[in-house]
Amino acid sequence: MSEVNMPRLSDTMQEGTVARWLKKPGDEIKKGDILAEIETDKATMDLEAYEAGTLQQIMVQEGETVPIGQVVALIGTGAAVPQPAQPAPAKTGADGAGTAPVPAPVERPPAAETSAQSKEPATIESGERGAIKASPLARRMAEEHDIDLSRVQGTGPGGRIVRDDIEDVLEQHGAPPAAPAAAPKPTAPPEPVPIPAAPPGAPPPETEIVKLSRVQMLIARRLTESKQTIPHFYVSSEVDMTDALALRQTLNASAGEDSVKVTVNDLIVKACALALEKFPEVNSTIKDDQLIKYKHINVGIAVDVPSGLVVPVIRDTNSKGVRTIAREAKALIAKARDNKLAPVDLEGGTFSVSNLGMMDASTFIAVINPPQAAILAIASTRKQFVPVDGQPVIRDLMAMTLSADHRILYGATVARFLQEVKRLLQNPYTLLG
Amino acid sequence: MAGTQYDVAVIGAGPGGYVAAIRAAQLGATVAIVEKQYLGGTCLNVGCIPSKAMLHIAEVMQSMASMGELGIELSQPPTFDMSKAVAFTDNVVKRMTSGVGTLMKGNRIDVFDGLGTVEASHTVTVTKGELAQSDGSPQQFSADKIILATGSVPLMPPFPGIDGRNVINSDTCWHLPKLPESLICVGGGVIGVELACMFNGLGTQVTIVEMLPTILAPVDDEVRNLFVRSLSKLGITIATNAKVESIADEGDLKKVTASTPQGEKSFTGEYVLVAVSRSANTSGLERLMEQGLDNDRGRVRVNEKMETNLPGIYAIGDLVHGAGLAHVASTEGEVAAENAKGHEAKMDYDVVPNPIYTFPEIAFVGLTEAQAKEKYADVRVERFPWAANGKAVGSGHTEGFIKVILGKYNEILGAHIIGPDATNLITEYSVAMHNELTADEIIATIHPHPTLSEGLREAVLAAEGRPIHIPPKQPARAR
Repeated sequence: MSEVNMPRLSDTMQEGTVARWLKKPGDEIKKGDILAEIETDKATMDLEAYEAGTLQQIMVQEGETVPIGQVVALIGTGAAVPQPAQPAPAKTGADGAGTAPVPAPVERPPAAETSAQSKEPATIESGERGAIKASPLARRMAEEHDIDLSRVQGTGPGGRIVRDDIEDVLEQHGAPPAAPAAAPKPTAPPEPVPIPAAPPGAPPPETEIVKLSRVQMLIARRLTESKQTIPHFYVSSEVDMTDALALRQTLNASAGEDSVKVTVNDLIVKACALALEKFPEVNSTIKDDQLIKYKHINVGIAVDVPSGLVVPVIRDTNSKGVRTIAREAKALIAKARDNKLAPVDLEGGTFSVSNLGMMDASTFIAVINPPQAAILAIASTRKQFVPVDGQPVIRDLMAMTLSADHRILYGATVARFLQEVKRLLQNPYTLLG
Repeated sequence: MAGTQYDVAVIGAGPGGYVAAIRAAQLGATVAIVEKQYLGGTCLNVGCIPSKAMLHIAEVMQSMASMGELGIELSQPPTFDMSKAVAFTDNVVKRMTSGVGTLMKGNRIDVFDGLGTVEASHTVTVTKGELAQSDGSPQQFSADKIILATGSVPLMPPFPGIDGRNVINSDTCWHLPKLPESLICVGGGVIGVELACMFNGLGTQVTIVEMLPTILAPVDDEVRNLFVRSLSKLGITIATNAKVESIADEGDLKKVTASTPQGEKSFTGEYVLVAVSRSANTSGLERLMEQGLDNDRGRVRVNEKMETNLPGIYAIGDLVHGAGLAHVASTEGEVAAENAKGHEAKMDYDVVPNPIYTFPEIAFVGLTEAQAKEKYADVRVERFPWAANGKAVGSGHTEGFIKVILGKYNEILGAHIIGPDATNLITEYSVAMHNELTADEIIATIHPHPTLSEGLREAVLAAEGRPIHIPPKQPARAR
């Protein structure tokens, strides 16, 4: 009998939700068969069988969320398939012939609710203290720095705590994590959303009903969470892009035929990355009662795709040249459009840029991409008369708005950050340094 | 076969490619592998394997020198027949490559003989190589995922005279009609010194000409210093800081002219062996390059999942980097195959063992002493000499040492072995480093006596200041 565990499907994944079981108890399983679809913080992915056998038991029902490493199913020889604890969810047709009173989603057993709601960092249960898996080096480092291993999430094979994990703790806290603060969490749980004014009853006859895809549902959930739990505030500014546009032309004219063209967005991304170096609080996140400043600057770029919106990430953006950023951005956008983005492409973003400049948008305000602290929304660049020495001169002006998390960022900081972005874009040669 | 569709196609059947193919097949993929010359690639045919066979012969020859003190007298001096030695290595190669063929069959992998030309649209066209029977028509198939593993070829820099007679390289040095009297080895990197030791052991007079100030640049300084002394004891001449300018004929011999800080120098020998570097082999990838395959002068750029910038196309091995290590290519092949089959695998280059097959052998993993001291403030370094190990002394291998570099947390930052069986022994340190075992776990592990492996534990004990079989140099660390 072998256990099927909730896999780690991305670097930041802490827990996963079983979206759908594709096999039921008693089914023959071959290596490589897709057992279930798992929904993570990033996307929906397949859970593959690494062992052949018979699906003996499903331990986690559809809709339930469990931490990585938890057993979700058992694969055995098929000698004795126990009756499933509860009947496998009946697949009622979506267009519901008959009068199915409950729509598709299966009821969640109460246990699932509690585990999904308890957002405490996934700690190892205290009963298992003796059995914490950690490398000897990690143990030794933990001892040296007085770190409680039961509070460290392992990322090594089988959830083993390894050097990197301890280094992460040291980096994040600077000091060993003390006993958990007794103070209440700064954010109250979200109030229940008032029911929309006109609850949709039976759809009017002349509408088309499109079921949301998993990804769209994921986007919907995350953006709702963002807007409901993050106190957004906004600061706008206008940038004179005349010189930046000229620089871009020069860059692209001097580049070879086959090299990637630098876009305005690439310059904006670079400017943001450099400004974030100066304003690390904008490149941060809030976790419980801690402000965590990231050491890396990884700028995400919002890309619209047929299935919705994705934000692939350019890693260490600040240390990359404009041409490298252009090349990587182009590759990421192409991958996004082909639905070929890997989880690693979507991970680790510390700040985002969303640009509707090419779509004639006069103002644009974006929703923060959690757990980031801010997002910069770019509207179109327009030719406008600007007084220069009392004379009207035509310049290219671009409107931008930063949405920021007011729990950790305040107006003056954000305004100064925007000033820096503006300064860099108006002196675009500083972007090439 | 036209229009056949595979899950995974691998281009190149070297140690990266054939391992990738097997791993993909294990994961349930239908797999095709294309090879233009011979299964097993450079490693099995003209690299690791024939050189180990020939080095074995050289080692046997060398051991004859010290037979007298073991009480063995040869009634007449040994003679050496190059053609029989070549036949022996050929046989070894044949056994190993036919083994790869069997593995392909056993894993139901379709093997295509010929040059595979790849398109970004994932079609592969196989044109028959010179070696195969040709009916003229190219075969074509397509694959969901493609793993490029075309390897590398010896780099022949454009020195004047490089294309002259008796100028050989690591591909062409295996079938010489007779043992060269003398040989100039251009390049003192790993391949150069291995071949230099091999020919020297067989009886050739060898001179190494290296452009850099040292041979074996990546090797720990202390190890290199001892190695250089060993080479001169064997009678190998080394010229460093010597940049080759030209190769010419001088009567029946070859003359290599090099510029040095002391002015021009020349070296003469029967053969010139060029072992300066290897360059990525991109034949068959021309179309992909036109279609935007990201590369740096032929070396294909990949991420840690071995993905290129083109969707569904992976690249591994020497095509990707200059490591020139078969075991790295193989591991990359496994990573690429797993990702191609939808698993999540990442390549981790932190712990890569480097074996060097010379007399004496060298092997190392992790940082050199200089690198460790640059990176960390708290570093402890100690050595254990083979002269203090019973098994080594008993087999007459007293030269060399094991050197261990420990960090603040007793972790092993680097390990360097020069001496008997170094290339096998390094694995214990690799396992420890990869799994984050510290000096304490190595010390706590019982090592069998009498073995060379005892030395591995002793070196760690020495770094801890408490060796058993050598007098302590530094006060024992308070535990």
